[in-house]
This record gives sequence, structure tokens and C-alpha cells, in this order.
Amino acid sequence: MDVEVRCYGEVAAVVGETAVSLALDADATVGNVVTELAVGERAFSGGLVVMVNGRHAETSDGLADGDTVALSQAPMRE
Amino acid sequence: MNHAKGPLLSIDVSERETTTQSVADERASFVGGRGLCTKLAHDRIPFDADPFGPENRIYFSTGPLQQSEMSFTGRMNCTGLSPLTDGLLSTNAGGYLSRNFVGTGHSAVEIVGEADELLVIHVTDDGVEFVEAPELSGATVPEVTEYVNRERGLDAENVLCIGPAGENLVRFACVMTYESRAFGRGGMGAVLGSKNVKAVTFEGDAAPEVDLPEDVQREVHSAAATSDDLMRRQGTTGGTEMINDNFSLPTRYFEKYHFEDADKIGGNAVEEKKYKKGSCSMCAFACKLPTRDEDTGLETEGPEFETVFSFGSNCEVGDLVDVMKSNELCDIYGMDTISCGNAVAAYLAAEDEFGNATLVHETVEKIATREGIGDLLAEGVSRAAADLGVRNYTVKNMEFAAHDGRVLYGQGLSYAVANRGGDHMYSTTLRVEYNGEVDPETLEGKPEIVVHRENHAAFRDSGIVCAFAGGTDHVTEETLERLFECDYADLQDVGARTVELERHFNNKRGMDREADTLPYDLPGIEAALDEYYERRGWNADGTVDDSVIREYAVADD
Repeated sequence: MDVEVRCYGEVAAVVGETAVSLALDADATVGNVVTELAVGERAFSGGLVVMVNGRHAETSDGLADGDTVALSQAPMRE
Repeated sequence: MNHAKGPLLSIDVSERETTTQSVADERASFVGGRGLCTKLAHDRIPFDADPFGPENRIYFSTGPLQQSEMSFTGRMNCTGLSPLTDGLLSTNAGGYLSRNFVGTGHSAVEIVGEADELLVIHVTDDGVEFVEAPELSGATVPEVTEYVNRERGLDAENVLCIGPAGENLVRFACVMTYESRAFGRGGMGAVLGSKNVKAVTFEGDAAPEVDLPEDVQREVHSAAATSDDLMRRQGTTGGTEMINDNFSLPTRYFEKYHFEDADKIGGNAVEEKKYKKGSCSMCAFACKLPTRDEDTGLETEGPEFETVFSFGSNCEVGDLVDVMKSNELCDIYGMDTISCGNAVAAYLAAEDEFGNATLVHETVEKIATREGIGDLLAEGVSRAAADLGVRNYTVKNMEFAAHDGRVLYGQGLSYAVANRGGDHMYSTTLRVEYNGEVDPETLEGKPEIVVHRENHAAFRDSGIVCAFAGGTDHVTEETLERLFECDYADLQDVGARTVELERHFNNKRGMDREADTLPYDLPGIEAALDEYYERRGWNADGTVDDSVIREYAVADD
């Protein structure tokens, strides 16, 4: 399946892109995206925030073809 | 528990007299900053005061941390009866004033009365001097700073002042310091204007000693200096696109939730305009945003995220330089960019002129001078909405910040119950909802979170710690325990009592549960209000009994 990954702020700096298209196995999870883009080991300010289609997601959550995954540092520090 | 040191300096500008008095018990119970000022304001401002009357009092204060050399402490508090919300309100500003204020030896300064001439007040460790300055009538914030430098040899970091908006009683006029730093929300600049006070300077070498653990100060300072947090490059704008894509960036006066040109005014665009580092007193984090547009020569500080929203997306202006200009105009005239931007957006909605940056800039200037339509908009959105024929997007007359309570339900609840209305800093519940620590789209469990975060914020503003140190990042609960030498529960209690005094004061002015109302529906809001009041130990109508407040009396009362 194909998913679109949007990277913001500190994550975009690590990945080197603000948008990435990934072709993944049919049973892929959010964790596979994090591993594929090598952002799991980095400490982002306030932690890594992961969203799928505008909703927060866990690394164990499954993905579907056409999903949009968002990866960001915590967007507000307040 | 560590707390601010020094007496209260009371300045009566009607009589041009000053007195000092001990507030040792108040300091011990309420630490400093917002807590101390709230206690004093609650007890000393008549419940039926006119916000623009001589009986209103405006307070300035620091906390014990302003006597440290630690990052995230370059802040001061300002408290009084707000002409915007008509309730007790605290606001705080960064910059460099706090250390100069502490140098005068006072824990708090109170200004009461109404002068018969426009005054500049000089506060030093050796006394107070009143200087008549009619020539400053209508002066902008930079012009006041230049005057003080010329006449007294003082710098921008010694000064708090108002611009024309404060003199003209614009209900969201700021008290400005260091030219670009604002005691922003709630119109305290108009309160100072109503007292005919154009500026107050602070200078001295009489800072009382506060014994704060040095190892903690070093740890925090080191963490601030070595952090690779995006905030250090982009301030609060670093989350703009993420929030726009995944939550909401209110657009076209809250008509839409997303702005298609967010990338043109967001963090990366702002960073491109940043030309040097900017900081506050003692802070190595340095998250401020001095920006310059090389083509026009325009320089300003910001815009921060809230201004990106208020003068950008909400006005449907997608050119960063235009947003920078709005930001700079507000700084020069001394106005809150959030309230002013919302007022302008409401006007654009009424005129169907979204995206007209020229009209935006003209309207900002008209508001500051109360010219034409500016006279109506200077009253704030709530008082102007009916005449404009637009929806009233405020709570307790306070214009909303960017963080959209329609998608961040806990933040929505926070806006509803906050004693200063639609202000995101009252609890910053937004943070845990953006982060996914809790589901944003439910009110289940949110009353407990809002209570905890309100208390935390009230203490943080009393200490005083910068909000950008975060609740869990650079200044943790454990850090606070070590700094203040007490349990975190004690700090929560200081915050809770501060919130409760604000609530009680507002109750006495007629505000109750009906004032805790949003201009939009949130599923479950009534049950959440019930739970919020219950957790606070308040009545179901959102009021606090007098007997509760009497328990907070200190020895001086």
C-alpha cells in the first residue's frame, strides 16, 4: 500500500523532506513509517507527535492504503 | 517556600504621594507575581470599581526567581481590573525590566488615582519622582523610550509605558516594555492611560537577597543554552503548518479551520526573516524573533504564532511582510496583537474585505487613534459585534487566541471557565491535546486537567517562570520543588488560591456560570462545567462563597 508522510519542523529537518511517499507492506503499522524514516531514535522537543488522517496514533496502529501520516515535534511548548 | 522579598510601594498619582508597607504575609502565602498581585488587587480594589476610574489599581510585581541568574525568568506580572473583561486580570511580559524592578527593592508596585497632568514616574531605590510630561501626549512607544533615554539616560530595559492606544483607552491597549514586549492581554495599558501615566521607569541597586539553590539554577541555565528545540529558531511559529494541517488555524474570522497560505506565514517563513537572536533577561534559550524584510526595511519582533493567526489567517492575509507590519504597528501604538487582529478580522468580515492588507493596516491605526470605525473596534469584538453584524467570538469579552476550542475540547473548556476569558495562557490545556497525551475531541477527563493546569499556570506566573520552559521540559515539577523548597502540591495550592481569588472578585462584579459560556457548542460542556466547579469546591452556579475567601486572609487583613 501507499501512504503519504508529512514531516514538520524538527522531523522535516531530520528526514530532509516535508513530504514523502512510502510504499509499505499491506500489514504495515505506524511504527514501520517511523523506522523507515529513521526518526524513532531521535529526541524531539516535547516528544514525537504522530497523527494519521488528522487523529493521534500509536506506533502499533495499522495503516491503510492512502493514509496520510503526520510526524512532528510537539507543536506548542506552552 | 521561597518567595519575593521587599515591601509594597503604593503610588497615588492624584496626590503625588507614595507609601511603603509590609506585605510579608501576602508574600509568604502567594509567593510573588500574579499570586501576590491578585491577593492585593482582590483586597484593595473596590468590587464596584470603574476600570477607568481613579479607584482602580494597577499592580506590577516579580517573583523570587527574578532575583536569580536562571534562564526562563526574565518576566514580570501586571494585574488590575480589566476594562476589556470587566474582571480581575493578570498579564505578564518578558524583556529586561524585571531585574531593574527588583533593583528598586520592592516586591510589588501599586498605582492608584488619576493624575491631572500626563506623568512619567521614576521609581528608584532612593524614592519616587513625578515628572509632568505633556509633550509625550500621543507619543508612540519608541518615542517614549527615546524620551526616557534623552531625559534620564535610561534604556529601554528600564521602562514600561503606553502608546497612543493606552491614552485613548483602547480596551485592549498594552503596557509595553523594551519597546516590543507587552503586558498584552486585557487592556492594562488603558488602565494606565486612565490614570494619566505615560511611563514608569525602574532603576536601583537594592535587590533583596533570595537564597535560591544554585545547582538547580545552573542545570536549568545549561539546558536552555544547549537545547536544540525548534522554538529557539522559530519561536512559537514552529507548529503553524502542523496545527493548520491536523487541527485548526482559524481563518476568515473563524469561518474556516484551515488557511491555504499557512506555509507563507508559518515558522519557516518567519525564520527566513529572522536576522539575529532575541532574548529576555538572563535567558539562554533566546526564543524571540527579531525579523527584518530586506526589501522594505521593515523591522519588528515577531510575529509569534498568535499574531500569525490574528493578523494572518483570520484576516486571510498570506503575506508575511504584511503580518510583520501589523505586528509592528501594534507594538508602536501599544496594542494586543490577538485582540486587535480579531477586531480587524471582524471588521473585514462585516465589509467582506478579507485579504485586504492595506485596509488591515489602516484599521489598526484608526483603532489606536479611535478614528472613524476605529472608535467602535477599540471597544473590542464583544462590544462591537452587534453593530458590525458579526458573531461575537469572545469569552468574557476577551478575544480568542489561535488554539481552536472547537477541535481542542479541553482548551474550549479552559476558555469557558478562565477568569480572563478567551486567553490560551490561562491553562494551556492545548499542549496536552496537540501532543496526543489526551484525545482532543472529548471533554471526558478534561475538567481535572484544566484545574491542574490552571493551578500550575497561576503558580508559574507567581514564581515567575516563563511558560515556554514548559511543564515537563526545562523546568519540571521536580525542578520547581527544588527551587521553591516545598512540595509540588503546595505550589498547586498557591495557584488554586490565586484562581479562586480572581473568581471571587469577578463573582462580586456579577459574573457567574452564565459568564462561563462559549460562542459555540461543545458536546458535554454543561456536565464538564459541573465537574469543574465540583473539583474546585465551588457552587454549581460558578461562584465562590465568601467564607472560602476569608480562609485566605493573612495576618495583615
